[in-house]
Amino acid sequence: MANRVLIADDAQFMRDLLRDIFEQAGWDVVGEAENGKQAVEQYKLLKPDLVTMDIVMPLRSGIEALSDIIAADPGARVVMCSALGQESMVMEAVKAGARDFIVKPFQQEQVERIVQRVMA
Amino acid sequence: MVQILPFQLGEGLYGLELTQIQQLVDEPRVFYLPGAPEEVLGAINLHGRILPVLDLPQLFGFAKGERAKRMIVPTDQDGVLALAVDRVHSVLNAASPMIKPCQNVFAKECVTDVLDWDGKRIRLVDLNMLRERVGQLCEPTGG
Amino acid sequence: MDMAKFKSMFLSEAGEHLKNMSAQLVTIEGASDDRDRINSLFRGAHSIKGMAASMGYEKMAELAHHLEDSLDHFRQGKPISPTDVDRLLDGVDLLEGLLEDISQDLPEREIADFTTRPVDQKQSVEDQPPAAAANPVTHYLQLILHDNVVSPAARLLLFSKSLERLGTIDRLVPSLEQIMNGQEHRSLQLSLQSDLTAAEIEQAFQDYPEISQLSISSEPPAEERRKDDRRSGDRRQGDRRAQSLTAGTVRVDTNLLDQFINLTGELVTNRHILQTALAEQRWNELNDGLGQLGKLVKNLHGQVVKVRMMPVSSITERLYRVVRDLSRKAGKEVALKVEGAEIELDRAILEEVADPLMHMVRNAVDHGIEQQGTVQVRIRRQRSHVHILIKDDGRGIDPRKLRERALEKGLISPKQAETMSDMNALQLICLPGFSTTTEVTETSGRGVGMDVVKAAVEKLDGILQIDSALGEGSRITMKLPLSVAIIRILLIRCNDRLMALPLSRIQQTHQIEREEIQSRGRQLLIQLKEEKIPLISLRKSLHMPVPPATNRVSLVVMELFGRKVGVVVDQIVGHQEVFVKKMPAPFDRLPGTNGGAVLGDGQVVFILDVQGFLGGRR
Repeated sequence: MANRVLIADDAQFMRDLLRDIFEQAGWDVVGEAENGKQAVEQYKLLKPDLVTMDIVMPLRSGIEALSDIIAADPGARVVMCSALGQESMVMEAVKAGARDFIVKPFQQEQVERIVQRVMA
Repeated sequence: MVQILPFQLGEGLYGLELTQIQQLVDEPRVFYLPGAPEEVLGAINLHGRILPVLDLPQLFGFAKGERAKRMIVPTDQDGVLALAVDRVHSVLNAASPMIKPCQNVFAKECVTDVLDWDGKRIRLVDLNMLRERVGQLCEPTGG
Repeated sequence: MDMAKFKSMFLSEAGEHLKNMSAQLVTIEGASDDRDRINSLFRGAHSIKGMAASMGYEKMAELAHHLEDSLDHFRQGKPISPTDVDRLLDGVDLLEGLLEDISQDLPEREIADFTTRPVDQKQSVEDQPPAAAANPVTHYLQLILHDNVVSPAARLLLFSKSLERLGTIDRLVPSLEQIMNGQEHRSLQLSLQSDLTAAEIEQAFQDYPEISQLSISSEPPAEERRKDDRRSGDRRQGDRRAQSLTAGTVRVDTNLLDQFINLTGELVTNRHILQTALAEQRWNELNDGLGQLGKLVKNLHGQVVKVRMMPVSSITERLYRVVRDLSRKAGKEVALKVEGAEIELDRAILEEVADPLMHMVRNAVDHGIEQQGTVQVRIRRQRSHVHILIKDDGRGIDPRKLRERALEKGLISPKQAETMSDMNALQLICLPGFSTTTEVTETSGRGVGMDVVKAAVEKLDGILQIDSALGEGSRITMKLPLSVAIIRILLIRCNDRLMALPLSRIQQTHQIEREEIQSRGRQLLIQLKEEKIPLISLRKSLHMPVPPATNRVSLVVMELFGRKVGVVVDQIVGHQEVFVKKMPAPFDRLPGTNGGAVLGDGQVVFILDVQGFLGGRR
């Protein structure tokens, strides 16, 4: 069975971009969330193998959503998507249990490598 | 904004609101239920509870066959059972105005509302109606 | 004399003495002039000493003797302080530990720490050093990040986390705190104790282009000479579990045993009457005799069920201790009142309910009562059910907050939140992932939530009801059946499907040769002893494909509509005791089964409604 990913980002563009990257790598994109709250709801329901989580999102931030997900499933694999200048938030996320982080703008190869590491 | 989980039954696209779903179960083992009608595939063990598995495609008149490995368990109030479907799609975020009551109620399919999604029509299953149909199915005489 | 056969009796009796002692001790505070209680404690210690000594369990005898001595002082009139009670409780705990060792055939644990400890010193919980690891090698690692790596501190933190998975990290430079403060570091130095070789560690970081340099050596960097400051492992206090109610032996009231003897006598007489009636072909007497037999068997069954019954006190006694410890720790004053503990329930139910009950009482002390109050456990019988009520006079639960929280967690929709009644909102605390206090307390925050309680109650076919009002405390009721539908089943297999028959309807099972089967018209028969018995194929009855013929045929002989019938099955798997669960409505109306059961390995098996299903089809 293909690996299953949930993409959480408030920008449609980023979601589409990530969807393309994952689908090309043979992944099954099982859900897309546009805010932190949806990300948590969908995580609980869909139990994906991986979540990509934008660090800044409305309703519940990526870090809050990450904490909720880790609380519900300590084994959750969540990779944060950050931008330059978000160092302290990235640190918070790693402390809260994020498995890795990707820095925007990202290239397919970078995403693939990090995903591979996290899934190993 | 409503979150909908669409799923495939035969050629038809159906859906349930996320709040009506307790959980999705991956590849549960389905156990034999003696004397069950065709539309009940057996039962699964969900954390010690025994849930009958309803073959939704067959109940709605689609062909028999292998179903998806993921099953949908509606919330308790909406009936204690698991739904077998042909494929579970990814969750959609739909604005409420996109949901409209359908002209002819699909009573057999327990559908009263339809979501128009990019020109595709997602039939929203009404769990109350479904429960009634299951009730008839389980009457010793009927089904 | 072979002592082994007395061991189980010793275990059960000593266990009971200990349980009593611990219950007595907990209630002794504030009543230290209670002669009877002190005498009873003294007698308990004394009996244990005697039993342990005669069984040759030296440590246990010595410790019991030690406790007996201390208790003797109190018997002479020395007042008992709370510290004394603590110490005595520790002693009883240690005795329980010894008993556990004995039951598992382990050498008795050391008691010198306790017996030689000055009387006013409480024992700390950390009693054992962590076990030494196998023999890992220490590697010294140095790692430098590329200049273009973004968020280097977070990256270093991730590295140290990955390294933690490979072994034990020590001598981290910069320190974890420095990294987490987000200071700009681009290199990491550490030692790693691991079973892996240097090459294997290097392999693990092969795919990290963020690293510009990684060196692994077995020698520490020259200037590095820091002292070990290993933190002591944090061992959590073990959860005191109820003594297993399913322990091998059962103590039976001698009155009950007498009744068994009487019943056996009546059965012997009955057999005699039946034999005579049959020999002389007096059919009326035979008929009466059979009716009598039916009554006797029913009576016997009732008595046997009684043996399974135990008073609820067997699971409530330990609550006193729990409430005492918890409230002392939290600086609260909480009294526990138990009513109706003498009511008897099937031991299987008690076993299932013990932990949920403990959890709810803990909750009441921890979250319900603010400073001072009472927790009540009230057990009452209501026809075929028993209600166990856990009540506190604490702050109560605010349904509004529950709704908000459920909404926030996405467990309910805004519409549901609006229309939900207070009563229903209270039930929200049973949803998985819901808990009313975010902070985890040491005592009830063990990850067991009300969802687990609810599951346990429902497993027994019971109902959990929650009722609370702000400022008026909470009432939680478990409504349970008196005796669970525990039945013995015969597991059988047909067409590779597992199913079950109730053992109570089965007369015997047989393996026969195919050639023994005779036919009369379309009806197949088998000669068993004096009689010809018709055969039914279970496969046919269940519309399963007809199997290839085999030489040996498995047969279950049962009575259907007053007639003996042989049911042909593919395979007889074995028998087992199970909880019967009704199917949820409306599926309970499906013909064919009398409910299902979950076997030990998680398999679900359904119990065939033989009469309604097999019978109806003939």
